[in-house]
Amino acid sequence: MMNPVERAKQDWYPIGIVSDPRRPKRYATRVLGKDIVLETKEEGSLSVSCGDESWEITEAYDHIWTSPSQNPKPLFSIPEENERDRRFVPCGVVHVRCSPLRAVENFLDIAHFPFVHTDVLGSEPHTEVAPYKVNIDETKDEVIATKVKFFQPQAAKSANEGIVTEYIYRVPAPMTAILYKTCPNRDDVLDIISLFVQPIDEDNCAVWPWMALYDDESSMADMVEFQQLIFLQDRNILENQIPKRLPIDPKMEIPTRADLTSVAYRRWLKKSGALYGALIQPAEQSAE
Amino acid sequence: MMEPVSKNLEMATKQIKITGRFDDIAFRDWIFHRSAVLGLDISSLTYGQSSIIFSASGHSVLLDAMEIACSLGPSDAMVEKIQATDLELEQITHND
Repeated sequence: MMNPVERAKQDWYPIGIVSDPRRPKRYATRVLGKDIVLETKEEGSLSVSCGDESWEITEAYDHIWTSPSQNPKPLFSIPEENERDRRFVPCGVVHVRCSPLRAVENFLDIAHFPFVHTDVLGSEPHTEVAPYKVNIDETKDEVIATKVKFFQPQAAKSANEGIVTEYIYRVPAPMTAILYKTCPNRDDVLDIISLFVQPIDEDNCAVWPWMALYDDESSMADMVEFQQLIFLQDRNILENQIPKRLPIDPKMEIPTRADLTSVAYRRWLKKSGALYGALIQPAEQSAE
Repeated sequence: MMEPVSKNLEMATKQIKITGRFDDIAFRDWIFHRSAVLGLDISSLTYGQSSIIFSASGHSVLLDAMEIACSLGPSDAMVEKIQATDLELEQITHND
């Protein structure tokens, strides 16, 4: 199996928002434990360097992405970005002291909504997660969970009352999760909330949420504030999880049917060798 | 004095067949450890290089958790397929 660092180098990672006016001309950050600099030249072009190395750079979904590989895997597709009547909302960045894989896994976990996002994304006594479908799509090489249904008191900034929200989850890259959910204003489309995760190193990450919504009423500031509130609630949980890295062996946990997406995610990571940020125990320890 | 609470605990037995690429002895040991954690009884277990078949009995919810845990297995195991079959089902009434 490929070394986890070498495997991680094949992917793209978000490092900034394209239209961020506050980003300095030379913006220093870290990816995969390496110090890099995002430079904005006078004419507006961008480049990324890591010491003497030049890294690949691209722009997509309102974000700037980089990869250490000279021949990275193609960036995943979100076809809905072409629906121009959606509102595309980059929500800034939240730094979290946890493995980048933990951040993605938390986003896939529905069962925590009533307890962490109380009276917003969930509420008691509506805590049961109904059975849903999870597959690893071998053709697209991604995890897909469908028919996920959950009662939410306030599913989005634009929601006026509680609704049973239907979710579809996609994990098209190890550090990206995309959620399609019931749009409170229209029944013919789904809102999109994505989590793009920048791996600072194996124990630290920066999370860049991005939304593509049908919402003509809420202000941009309100939508960003709503999403940041949700993620700040998650941060408290994420930073206190033990172990900090994502265990691939469920030794210390008892996954149930509600956790099928997480289990499929871990299987897919293991299968593809995408284990940067994972906790890998030798077999003799995992049975102790 | 409080009335005794009656709970219906659904007990079951499942046969679980795991196929994939793994160290069969390490996976066997992992199954015994995991079933002890979940309070399940293993009644039979056979294994070869690419498959393990075992029967486990206990509370149906915990058997379900066993099946889900086995779909991941130990860190270095790659489970390709898992099949679970109900072997018997009985209802017992338990008074606390």
